[in-house]
Order: sequence, then C-alpha cells, then structure tokens
Amino acid sequence: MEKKTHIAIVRSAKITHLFASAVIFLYGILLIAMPPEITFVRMRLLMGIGAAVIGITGVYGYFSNDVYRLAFQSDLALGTFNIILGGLLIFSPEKIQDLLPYAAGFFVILCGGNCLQIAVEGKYFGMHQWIWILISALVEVGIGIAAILFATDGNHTQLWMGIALGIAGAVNFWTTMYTVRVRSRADVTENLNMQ
Amino acid sequence: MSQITRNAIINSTLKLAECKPINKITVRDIVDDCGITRNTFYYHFCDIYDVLECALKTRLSLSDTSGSGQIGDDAFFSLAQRVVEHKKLLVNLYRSLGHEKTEAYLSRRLHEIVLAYIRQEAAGLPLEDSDLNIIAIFYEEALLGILTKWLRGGMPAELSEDLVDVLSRIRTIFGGQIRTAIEKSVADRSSTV
Repeated sequence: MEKKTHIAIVRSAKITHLFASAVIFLYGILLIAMPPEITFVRMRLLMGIGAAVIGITGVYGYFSNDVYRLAFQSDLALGTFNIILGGLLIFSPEKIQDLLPYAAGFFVILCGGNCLQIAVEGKYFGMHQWIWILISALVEVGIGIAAILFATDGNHTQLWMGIALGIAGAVNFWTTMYTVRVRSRADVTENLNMQ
Repeated sequence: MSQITRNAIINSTLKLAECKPINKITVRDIVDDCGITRNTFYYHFCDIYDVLECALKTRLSLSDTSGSGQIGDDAFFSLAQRVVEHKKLLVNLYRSLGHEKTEAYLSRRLHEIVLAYIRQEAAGLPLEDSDLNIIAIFYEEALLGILTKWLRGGMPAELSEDLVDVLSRIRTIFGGQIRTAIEKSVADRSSTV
C-alpha cells in the first residue's frame, strides 16, 4: 500500500473516531437536557443510526493499522456491538427500548475497559499521560456501573444515561487524540542502514 | 522481511542509545523512529533490553578475521574494534544497566576468545584442563579489566585514548606470555609425574 494512501486511511479513521466520540458526547448532553418522553420517542431512530455509524467507524479504525495500535485494538468487538445495537434500535425498537439504559451502561463500561487496557499498555509502551488515561477510564467504568444501577430509577434513568454517555464521549475523544498516531508505516527497506 | 524488520528495530535502538540513557528510551521512541507499529515491535522482541541483548550479540559477535580459519588475537582485536565503534552504546549500558550486566556480557565473549586462543597455542601439548582454566581466567580478567577501565574513562592520561593502540602495546609487551605459561605448566606437570 502506498504511504500516502495509508496516511489518508489512518487520518480518516482518527477523524471519524473523534467524530463518533463527539456524537456520543452530544447524545449524552441531549439526554440530560431534554424531557424523557421526547427523547425516547423521537430520538430512537437517530440513536439507532448513531450507534450503527459509531460501530462502523470503530471497525474502520481497527483495520486502519495506526502506528501505536493502542486506541483501536478493541474496536472490532466494540464496533460490532454498536452495529448490532444500532440495528436493533432501528428495526426492533419496541424490543430494545426497555433495555436501552442497560445497553448504554454496558457500552460505557466496555469503552472504559478499553481505555483501561490502553492505559496499562500505554505505560509499558512509553506514553507519559497513561496515568490520566487510567483515571479517566476508571471514572468511565464507574459511571457506566451507576447508569446500570439507576436503569430502573424512572426519574433519573435518562439523566444517568446522559452523564454516562457524555463522559464516555469525552474520554474516548481525548484518548483517541492522544493515542492515535497519524503516520504511515515506513517501508523498512527504505533508507535502511543494513550491516 | 522479518530479518530486515529486526535489523531496523536494532538500528533505531542503537541510534537512540547513542543520544540518551537506555532507561529513558521507550518502545514508543523506537517505533516512532522506525515507522513500525507497536505490534510489530512486540512480535520481534519482548522489550528494549531484549533488543539490546540481540544488538550486543550481533554487533559484538566473535569474528574470525585471521583469514587462516584460526581464531587468534585477531578475534580479540576485532572485538576491541567493535567495542570502540559502539563505545557510546556500551557506556550507556554500563551506566544504565550497571557494570555487572555489561561486564558479564563482555566477559562471556572474552572467555570464548581466550579459551580458543589458549587451545590453539597448546595444540599438541598435554596441557591439563585445570591449568588451562587458570590461564584463561587470568588473561580474561586482565583484558576485561582493561576494557572496562577504558569504558569508565579511567585510563591514565599518559596512555593513548585509542583502545586499539593500548591493546597493540600490550600485545607487544606481553606477547608470547601465554605460550610460556603453557610450557611451564606442561613442564611442571611432567616433573611431578
């Protein structure tokens, strides 16, 4: 693969991943700000499309093969989860509506777990900000657990979902910014000083 | 392709080791310099010290330069040349890993060279294994001491800074001593029989 093509792929994967994280963050804000009856009824389709798109960007990121291979390494699994979730929201919303708070909570926990893995591997890899990734991952996991625990608390379900998704979007955004390196794999045969 | 990638990683690591202490170099530094992925690095090596071990083995490996197929003091001078070429790396290793590990590696290489040289000199003579080992240890420690003193920058000011010059002078002054030691050992053993 040509260098320029590979750089373009990694750059586009990073941008789409950042975009997806921003979308998750905005969903969270929306869930916090809007009345529950409006959100669920009118936003189901949008949430389904959003989840599917986020899943596709995740899978794309996984196959982009960035230099550090830290941020996208779990995105095949996460992306697949989101694509399935999105599909269910679009095609069978009545079956999944009651499970949505749990799905959001588990999604946030999975994202937090992914960031936890990035933090630990980033430490050994030589990333100086690994401790901040670790802290934000633990916060993300904790909030995801809270979203599940409050899933049946009628008045606060949507609020906790919103907080969880907002934090997940923010954490994923900054983790992607820091850990995805847009640089092509150099052809190791070029300029090689072989002995 | 796999060997090319391994060499690229080693070259990048050695380049970085010339500029900063070993314990400050990260895998990220190496993959950034090399342009490979993190997974590629870990496919070939466990960690940076694994790369350095491999680098020492390949860059400071035993070399038969005599042209006659025999391993003699040419092999030692070949090693000395490589020590000089990679002085920065070895000094870095010495400071980062501690003198024990660096000396341990140099000691292993010297032991092979000295042992082979003694066996070559003792060809045809009934040299006892115990005396062979005594002679080997004596000269191995002497040479190791000189190498490490030079690495630490502890050579007296009157001596040349060029290690190879110093070793050439030692060869001139002490040349033939190993042969003499072998002959004395054989004669002594014969007289006690």
